[in-house]
Amino acid sequence: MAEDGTSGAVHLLCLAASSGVPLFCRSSRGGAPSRHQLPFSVIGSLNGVHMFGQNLDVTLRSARTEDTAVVWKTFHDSVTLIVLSSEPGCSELRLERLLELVFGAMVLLVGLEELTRIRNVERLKKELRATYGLIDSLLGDAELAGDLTQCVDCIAPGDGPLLQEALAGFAEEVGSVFASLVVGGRVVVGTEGWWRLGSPEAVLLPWLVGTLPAQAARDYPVYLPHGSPTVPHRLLTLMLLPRLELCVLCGPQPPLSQLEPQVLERWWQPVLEPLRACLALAPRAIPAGFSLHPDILGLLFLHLEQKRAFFTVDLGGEEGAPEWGAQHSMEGGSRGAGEGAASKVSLLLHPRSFPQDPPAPPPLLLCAGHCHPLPSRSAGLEASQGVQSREPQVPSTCFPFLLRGGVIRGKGRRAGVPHGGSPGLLCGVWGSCQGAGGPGGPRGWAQAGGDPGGAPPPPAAGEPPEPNACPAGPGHSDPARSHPLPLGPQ
Amino acid sequence: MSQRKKWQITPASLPRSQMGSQGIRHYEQHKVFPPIYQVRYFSLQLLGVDCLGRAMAQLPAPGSVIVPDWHESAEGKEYLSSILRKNRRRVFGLLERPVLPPQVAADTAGYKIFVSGKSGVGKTALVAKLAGLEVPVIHHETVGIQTTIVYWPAKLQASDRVIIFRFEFWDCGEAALKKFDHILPACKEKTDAFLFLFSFTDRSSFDDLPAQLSRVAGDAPNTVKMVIGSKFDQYMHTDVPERDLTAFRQAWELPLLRVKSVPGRRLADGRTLDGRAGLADVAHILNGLGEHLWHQDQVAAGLIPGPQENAPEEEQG
Ligand SMILES: Nc1nc2c(ncn2[C@@H]2O[C@H](COP(=O)(O)OP(=O)(O)OP(=O)(O)O)[C@@H](O)[C@H]2O)c(=O)[nH]1
Ligand SMILES: [Mg+2]
Repeated sequence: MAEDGTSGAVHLLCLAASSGVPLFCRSSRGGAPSRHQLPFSVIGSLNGVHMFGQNLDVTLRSARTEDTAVVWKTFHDSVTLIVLSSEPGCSELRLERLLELVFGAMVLLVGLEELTRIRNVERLKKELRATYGLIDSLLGDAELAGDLTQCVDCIAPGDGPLLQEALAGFAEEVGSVFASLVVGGRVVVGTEGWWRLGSPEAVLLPWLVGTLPAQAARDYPVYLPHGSPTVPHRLLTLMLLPRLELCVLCGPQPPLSQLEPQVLERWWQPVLEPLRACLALAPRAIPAGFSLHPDILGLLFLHLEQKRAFFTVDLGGEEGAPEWGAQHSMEGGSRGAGEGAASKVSLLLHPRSFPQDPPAPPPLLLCAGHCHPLPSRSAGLEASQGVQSREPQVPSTCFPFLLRGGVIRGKGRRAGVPHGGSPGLLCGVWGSCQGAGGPGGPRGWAQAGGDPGGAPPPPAAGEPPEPNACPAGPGHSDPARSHPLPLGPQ
Repeated sequence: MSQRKKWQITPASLPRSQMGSQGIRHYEQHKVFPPIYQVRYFSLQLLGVDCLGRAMAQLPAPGSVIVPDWHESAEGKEYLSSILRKNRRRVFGLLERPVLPPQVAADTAGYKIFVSGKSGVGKTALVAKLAGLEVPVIHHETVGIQTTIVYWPAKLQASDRVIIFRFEFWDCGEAALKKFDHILPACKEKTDAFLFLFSFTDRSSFDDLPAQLSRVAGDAPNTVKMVIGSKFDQYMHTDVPERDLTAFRQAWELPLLRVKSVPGRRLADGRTLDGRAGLADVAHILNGLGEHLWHQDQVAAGLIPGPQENAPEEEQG
């Protein structure tokens, strides 16, 4: 299915399950949205073979050609999503999750009812156009990892408590318990209510905000795939600074016109400098002033209980030790550096590592030329619980998550350079960040660092997350941890 | 969960059967234009404010409130640089505003402007054009409400003062407006102006104007109302001939602008929109808008006579 030998194309097809009418197709190649479309005959056959199975009571879930993985999934007997990926090492599990997230995005923007009771296909097609931006970003190379980790991408602001206070005060004044600050799709601070949002909306809402074109303010009807799939809520976004959005999720009140500049200025002008500092942080996720071992090319920290994550492959510095203090210029500069780093790093995550395996392995560190594989229960690794060698001794198929197109494992900054290993890569790092960051910030993760010998440190959170901590997928609720309707009726 | 339907923003009954009805009208009335119109409008190219002399005497004549080409003067250019950055239009967050050198400080006049019109007439495209952002090429219905802030420095004729206009455009998708009942009230609340858009290529959007005017702005007599004919670059294919426009203007006495919201010149990199060129494209619209809003304010403050006192007198003169 790959054309002209180009690797890394992803095609997503969405069809009405009963009629087979295509609702939309999106494609991405090399991480960027592409206009290339599959021929109609291919779409027809892909759907046909799935339907054929269905008539025989067989569910066709996935297939693999030499270079392409195909995954089918039908939601609520109404919408069928098909994804084809020729990205190297792309696993079925990853694609299945992608489809679930894409369906979540569709519910988020058009509501479950429209999707399950399709009355007017043309109308639905028009409405679904609103999802293209978000879906393209999910298919392509976002700077975010929430699709893989199922955790909310966060950044740790230098002045977390100050911003938290302003946010709480503002939220109270406008009468919503769901508010957050979002930079480039990552949450800076959120109210308690915001953190109670279920999955997948907790991941999708900031992601959506990060993909929308710049607007001073928005009053955006959204459905919460988990918490409220059929009753719309209002997502208000206020662009305090370019790329920095103040988000409020609410019911009929307050009207957008109530959030006047005076109200905003009263709460946010006093913290303007901390806000500006967040902008410079966006691609890097953690505050300046940390000196990291130069071999660390990227970081991923997951807090499985709180379902939040730091993810960055933009640690700055082209050569030698990353210059944490180096100020990135807000426009252009930092982005360029980030992309450079990103293209050199392959981030290897094991799909089974989280969140299904509750006593989950620790954050993964990335170093040039090698990685610390995560222990896993999956085949191939079962016997080797706690593989800790510097060179991953597991078949590459066990690392099916390859972030960012065209990445080749081991092509890091120091690829090929013999390495003595880096005991305590994070030594002293988290010690210095005590007190920084918002609630549930690095404090809880302090134990994660400083484990000598490069062995994966114990789970970051003190107590292992309870088995029920993993969220329900979109569309079905999890009784063990059912989320209250985020916004109860008045 | 069973009580959730109590929610206010439940979808109002959505008329679903309107699809495709506009396609029929499209080529129904194919008009031949007197050559004079074509010459006039295609040499004009740019978008101007039309005023029908006597009939609209209560409205400010174009250029009577704001110095028309001031933005091209040396002084104007200096002010314009406060809304540009590296030759691009600057995007301002809600906590930001244009910064002027202390010696040229100017007052800011903020206005809320509600952009109304049928789906697909070009509301979002117009606002994007005014803000110097990429104009959507494919029609995506606007989801909910989006607001865009455009700063525009202008020089007043009367006092020689420079004012920074802060236009806050409220744009909402027609479909969203019909579906959710909280949207229209929010857009109308305390608005200073209504822009009623019709498209030169969609006759039904023009025919709908009277209904729009009464439905949307019927209860707001003292706000600025302007009619905007969009997709003027498609005038060759128009369904709205000039004589219908003339009749409309005589009946409604509203200012009319013609716009074409097409991407402007790009910078050397071939991708980024040239901020200055974009501003030159829309200066007439921004000036026209500012003129009516400023005038309206003066009338409201009793500084100049309003339409009621003025109109009969003018009719005779
Ligand atoms: N040639 C040309 N095309 C235009 C112009 N204005 C808008 N369009 C196109 O018309 C289509 C619809 O424009 P939008 O601005 O998205 O329409 P809208 O009024 O915002 O529609 P809703 O959000 O659905 O209410 C887009 O494909 C635009 O590119 C114009 O002045 N000239
Ligand atoms: Mg629109």
